[in-house]
Amino acid sequence: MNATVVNIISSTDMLSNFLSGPLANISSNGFLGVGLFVILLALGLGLHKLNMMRTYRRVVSTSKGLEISEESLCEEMFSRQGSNFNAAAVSAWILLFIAFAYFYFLTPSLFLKYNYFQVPSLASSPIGFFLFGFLVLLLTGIASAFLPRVLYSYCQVSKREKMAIMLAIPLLVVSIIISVYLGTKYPAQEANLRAVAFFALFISQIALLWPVYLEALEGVR
Amino acid sequence: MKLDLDDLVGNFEKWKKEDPNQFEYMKKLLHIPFEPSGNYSAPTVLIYYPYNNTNITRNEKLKMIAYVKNDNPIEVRSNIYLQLEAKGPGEENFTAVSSQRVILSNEYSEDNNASMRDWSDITPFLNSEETGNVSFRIWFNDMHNTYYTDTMYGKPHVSGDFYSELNLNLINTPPEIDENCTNVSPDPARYNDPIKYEACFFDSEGDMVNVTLHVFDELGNEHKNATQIIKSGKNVTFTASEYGFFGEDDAGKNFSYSYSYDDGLNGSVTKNMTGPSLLSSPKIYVSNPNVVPEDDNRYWWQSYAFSIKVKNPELDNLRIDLYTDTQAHPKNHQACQMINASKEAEDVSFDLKPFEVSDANQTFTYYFTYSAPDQASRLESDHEKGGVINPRLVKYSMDSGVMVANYLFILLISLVAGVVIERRLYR
Repeated sequence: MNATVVNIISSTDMLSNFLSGPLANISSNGFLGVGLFVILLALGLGLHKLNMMRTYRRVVSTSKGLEISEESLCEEMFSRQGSNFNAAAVSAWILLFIAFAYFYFLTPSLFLKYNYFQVPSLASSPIGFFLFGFLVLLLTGIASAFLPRVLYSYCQVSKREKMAIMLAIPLLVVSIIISVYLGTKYPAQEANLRAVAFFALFISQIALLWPVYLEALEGVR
Repeated sequence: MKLDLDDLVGNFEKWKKEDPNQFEYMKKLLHIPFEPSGNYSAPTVLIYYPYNNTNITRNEKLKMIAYVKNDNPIEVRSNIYLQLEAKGPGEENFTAVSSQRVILSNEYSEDNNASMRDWSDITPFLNSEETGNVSFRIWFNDMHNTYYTDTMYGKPHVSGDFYSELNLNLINTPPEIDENCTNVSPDPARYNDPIKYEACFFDSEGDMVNVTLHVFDELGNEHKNATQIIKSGKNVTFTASEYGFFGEDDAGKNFSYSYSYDDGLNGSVTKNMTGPSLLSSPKIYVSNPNVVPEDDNRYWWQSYAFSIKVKNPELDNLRIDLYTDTQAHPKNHQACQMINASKEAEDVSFDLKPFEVSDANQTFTYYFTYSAPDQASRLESDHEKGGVINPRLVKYSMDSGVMVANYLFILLISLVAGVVIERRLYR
């Protein structure tokens, strides 16, 4: 019994230290966080492109002189991932961008001059938070709609990876709700909650890009 | 019969009155003219001016000396009457500038038969209105003849410091104004305040300075003017009430002014200077500006009750405007009210939500403006401190219906969008 209590307490301490330590530092640094988000995304897209090129070169090298275009190879490689997964993936990407915008640009905490409250007519509206999220949805809609098709239709996505991608949705919901909560509390700050929201956002992004990274890793091997 | 002197004088006066012709004839009979001896010669008379300055000013006190050399033997000499004459710039004739001097026959130096008479501290051109060449000469009479030194010699006599006619140059330096010393006060002022225009003028020659103050209205037209003559270096003061510069109709107007000044010869005009601004006559009386927030939280979304007490006994449609001032929204017009004349003072209240989210965490001030001048002749109240607006930005708490609806809708739309997009683009 005592050992269980000690284990729980030490786990709580570790979590607390983790949230208030390096994660808090990253989550409270707007430029670092946005930079990290953009780098992860750009890296994912870049690795996807490299994966495709590598596959093409291998196919060409084993085709014994047969001419194969990239387009036709892409058509051959294309595989459907299932409706439920696709819908979940699109929703997850939409939520990722909304969570990202809510986390960094909802309050002046991280970007004093670039945030939702710099548009007083929007911020003064009772449905301002919704409008802000909807605006982000519209702005990133095309990317959210096509990224799953580009990233997941030309590689093997395991069930675990699909599960991780689908689990990103509740994680992103958590991140969004925490960001909204922090927005309603501003200027009061809650560093631990902020760290949780950041962690959820970060993990979700990793989960959404993981199939690409994994394939790149396997390609290197 | 014994005739004494008084009788004789009395008879002369009687004869002169009763028979002037016979009296004149008797005078001719009794007149015995002076006849100089054959070797009498007229004395030499010159102006002695042993000074280097040939430029003189109107106020300069001059000293002129008559030098008379009379080589006639003392028994032949007669009295010499001397008169200094001067001719100013542009004048054609000489005029006497001082009283006569006399040299008696025994008043000559035994060494050189010469004598001198002077005229000191004379200012013959004090009132001259021109500058230029001036001349001096001496008129004299030796009981035989009358002479003028400028014409008695064949040609002008100039030898050392001796002149038959002395020519000098009358110059003038214009007066100056001390720019740092010009002032009109008080400014702004009420029309019936003791408004004073002050200035200081200098004339290097000590001339009197003619100073005219010109007061201009807002269109630049001359409203009034007044002149004073002052001594150089003395302050000149024009008191508006003394000269009647301003009346009640001038209240609320802005005036400007300039000075023109001269010393009778040369003058100048200053640039236009602003002032005074006349305050409007009070029409209303305001007091007790106040603001009461909805509660002590002072959130930006809350109501604030602003009020000011106004006594407006005579004006209908008096307009009262409320302004708030924050860093995000300076001079922000909030609302206005029109009130009519009333014998009693009334509270003019504005109950409104004056701020928006960008005003949060800022200190605000507020003030009222009115369409008629208040008791301080102002059209605006002081900027009153209203306090700091609460830094909280969002009105709704996380569990409020509005906020729940906000995030639920965005989550729902995201999920639905995923399904819709999958159906449209992935099949």
